[in-house]
Amino acid sequence: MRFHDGIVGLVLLIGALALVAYARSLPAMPGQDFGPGFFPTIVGAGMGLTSLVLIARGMAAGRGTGLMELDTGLRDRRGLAGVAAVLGGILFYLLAADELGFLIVAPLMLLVLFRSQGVRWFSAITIAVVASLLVHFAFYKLLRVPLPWGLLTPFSW
Amino acid sequence: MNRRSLFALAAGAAMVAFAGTAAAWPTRPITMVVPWGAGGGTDATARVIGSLLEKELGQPVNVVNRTGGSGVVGHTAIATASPDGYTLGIMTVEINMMHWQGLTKLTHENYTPIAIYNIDPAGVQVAADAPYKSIKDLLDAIKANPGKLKASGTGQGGIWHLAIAGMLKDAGIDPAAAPWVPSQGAASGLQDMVAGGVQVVPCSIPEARAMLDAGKVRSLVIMDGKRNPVYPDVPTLKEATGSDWTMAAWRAVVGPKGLPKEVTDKLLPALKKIHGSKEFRDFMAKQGFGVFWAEGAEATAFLTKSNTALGDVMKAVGIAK
Amino acid sequence: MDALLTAFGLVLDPYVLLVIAGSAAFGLFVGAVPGLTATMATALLVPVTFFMEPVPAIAAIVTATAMAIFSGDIPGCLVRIPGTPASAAYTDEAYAMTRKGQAEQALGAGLVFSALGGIFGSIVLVLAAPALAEVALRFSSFEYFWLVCLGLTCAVFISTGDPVKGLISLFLGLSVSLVGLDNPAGYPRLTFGSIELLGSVSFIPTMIGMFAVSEIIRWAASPGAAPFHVQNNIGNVFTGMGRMMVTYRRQLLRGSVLGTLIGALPGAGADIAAWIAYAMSKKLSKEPEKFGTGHPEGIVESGAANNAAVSGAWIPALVFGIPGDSITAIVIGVLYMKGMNPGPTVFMNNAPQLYAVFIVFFIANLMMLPFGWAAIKAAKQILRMPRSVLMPIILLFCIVGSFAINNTAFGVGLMLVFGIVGYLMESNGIPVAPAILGLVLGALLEDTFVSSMIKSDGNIWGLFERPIAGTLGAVTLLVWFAPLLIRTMRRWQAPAS
Repeated sequence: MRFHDGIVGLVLLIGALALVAYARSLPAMPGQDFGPGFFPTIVGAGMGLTSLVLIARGMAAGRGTGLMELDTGLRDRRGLAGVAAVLGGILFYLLAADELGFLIVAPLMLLVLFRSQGVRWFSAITIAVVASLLVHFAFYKLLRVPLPWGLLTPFSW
Repeated sequence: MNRRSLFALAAGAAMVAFAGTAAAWPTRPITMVVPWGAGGGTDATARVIGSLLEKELGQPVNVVNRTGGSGVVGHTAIATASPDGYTLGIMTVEINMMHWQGLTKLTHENYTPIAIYNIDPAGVQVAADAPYKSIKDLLDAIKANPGKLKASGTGQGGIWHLAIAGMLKDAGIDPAAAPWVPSQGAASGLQDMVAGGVQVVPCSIPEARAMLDAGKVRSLVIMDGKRNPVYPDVPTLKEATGSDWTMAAWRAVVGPKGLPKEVTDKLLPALKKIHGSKEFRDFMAKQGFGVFWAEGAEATAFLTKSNTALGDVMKAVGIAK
Repeated sequence: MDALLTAFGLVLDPYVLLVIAGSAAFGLFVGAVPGLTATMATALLVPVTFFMEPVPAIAAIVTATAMAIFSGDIPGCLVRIPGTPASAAYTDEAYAMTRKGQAEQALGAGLVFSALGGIFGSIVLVLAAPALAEVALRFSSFEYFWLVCLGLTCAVFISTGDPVKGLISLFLGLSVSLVGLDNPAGYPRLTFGSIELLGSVSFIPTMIGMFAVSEIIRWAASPGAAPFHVQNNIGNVFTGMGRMMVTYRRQLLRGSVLGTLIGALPGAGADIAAWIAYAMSKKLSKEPEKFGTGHPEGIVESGAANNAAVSGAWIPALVFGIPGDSITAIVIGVLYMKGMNPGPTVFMNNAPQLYAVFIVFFIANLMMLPFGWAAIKAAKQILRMPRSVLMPIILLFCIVGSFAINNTAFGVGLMLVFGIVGYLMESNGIPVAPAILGLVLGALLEDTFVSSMIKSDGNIWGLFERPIAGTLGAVTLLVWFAPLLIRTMRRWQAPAS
């Protein structure tokens, strides 16, 4: 997704101004000449200045490129479905992993992703289950990462 | 399957889960949350306890560092974990400090204390080539030139900041006379002192140990009732100035509030055995950590007393809100 | 001499050699998994080493960390996910080489020059530890402040193409570094009431998001994209390395020296060494225009630097018990546990054990060649899988890796957010590497500045008063203003001539 330089600059400028305004609202720290607001002010100012340069450059370049351009893939159904599957898959893991458990969420997420890429059902299911079990073994057993068990807690190993 | 039967299934599974844990805790790996980074004193003691506990309980004990936010993040993670005995943690003295600063609502009452296993009193360290031979010299120098000597060794408002502020106040000197330079920890504060950046580091003796042995820093005094057996030449503050001021950091094994009795009944004896073991004692002695033990009502009384005392000092020196 | 012979006896024990081989495999694996760092490899080894003799215990850590820092290059090169932060500096470069079908060369350069850098750092450790440690100890916040400024200057050099967009990326990274309680004032900033944000934005999930997830989104958005270029006749990764060693001998030496020095400084480790080495390589290169397009020169220099830094970090750790990085912070605890108390006395009291540790440093770095070769061989097979199967599995690794650093789902959320941010940045021509650099150095910049100002009672000239700080400050200002000065002088001379 490509935006015109002027738009990118404008969004960043608004962000920079908000940051500076926020920084000025932070209290002073007794015993420190440069309080918690000092560094954010500098960063905000720097960001503001560079975004001004970007806006100026965008204005000079004119509207030749258009205000916004979609990636080629995002214009067709398969590309959109693919991106939705990736973002949705992560979101699903994020929201459901603690409740349902890694060994339920991970294979489901993989299955959806495989299917969105046109992997056939049989391979998709097999690989999703095997890969999830392998990742679980490597991280949970070997690297001692406490992956959530969720619903499967009674069967935990 | 309709929604109600799904719910019933989930509830059933949860009950089986609960019954399972209560029957023969532990049946799966235990997570031990450390609110401080890998490489620090809390992490080191937690990993030793963890590996010994693993032998006692027969299940892996995974030490997990939840760092950041000056300990708030890790302490919150312990308090908000499910009290099933599978998440334990190390609570440190900061739990009785951060709520006074308004950083969190958590206090030690949000936990099930199992045992306090370590106490390290604050010391006062200066560079080996500094002109101050005794704590009196140092206090006189701070009094004569307020603001000239800088101190460091932890973050703004941290335990060692409090130690020196309280000591100065007790000696009738304005705590602001030794400005505090925030640092990531005692090690970086000490290094900064050797590099000439600051003049005083009021951290504990085990933290300063390597630099003391290397002859790079000198310990003037220890803010405790008795001397450290490893460094018997360092006087207590009472001996040196007559002041009653003491300050110490402590560490405790805790669980979330409401830990089942089945868990504590098994955990406490295991910890007690570890605490008396040769491996643990050797480790603590070699690192110079102070060994301490308080459990049950004694531990709760200790925590309550520590909380009030720290709150009073923090208000007095202007760190508390 | 006796001590040295005893030391060889200690190392060449079958049990010790077995431990070394096991930790080598372990280190390679941890390093190659995104989200797991060399520091975590060390932390995971502590309970295992607890019941070992001193020499195998330390040997396990030395070997595992050296391997992990190298093997972080493998996923960076093959699928653009830096396995450890120390590989982030040149991930884009290595991935560009893979896209050109030169994966063997990129991995080979990473492997061979990692080993050479590690050996160089070990030699310095053996020969000059006490002297160098004295120098490293003289660094206070004033010196660090300038060092960080120099490091941030690298952002402009590492960003390919447009310097304005490089700066924007840097400021984005710096803004993210503002979040949390861990600032010098201890005041919660930009946390929006979240406890998780109080603990700052963790660097690892952010990095995984910006590099890897953004790449996965881009892949999903372009169905039917060409598969990875994998040459069918998988060549020998060592082919052409001899020639490279001759061509880039100066880069190798420079990277090794820089890496050892930065490693020896407390508070700066392998990741910062790699960033600075990569930027320096580009700045001093005869063909800087090739950087970013798949050119091995920068990989040689920064690959050597990060492994040299791993050895260099042991210098202050052994001599003064001051950790040079987060790995040696854990090591110091283990040293105490094993009765090898760090400090000048360790060279007298524990000479045989110490020499044994030194020997292990050399063995570990030499063993990196065959072990790394095998790891690369295994990793290359992965690329032969169809991408429709490979990419979702990589995504699962990213998720678990982001979770593993703090064991919290919040890390996965960060990864998602920064994956989208990284995707948007790259499609608008804003490079992500400077943002990562800003996030790494932002907190350090603020800390060192505020500390320095408290120490100098708010006097800005205090930054120049100490000799080393003054020199570093002058160098920094020169780097910043030299191009401007030269241009003005030329303009001033032009009418005169």
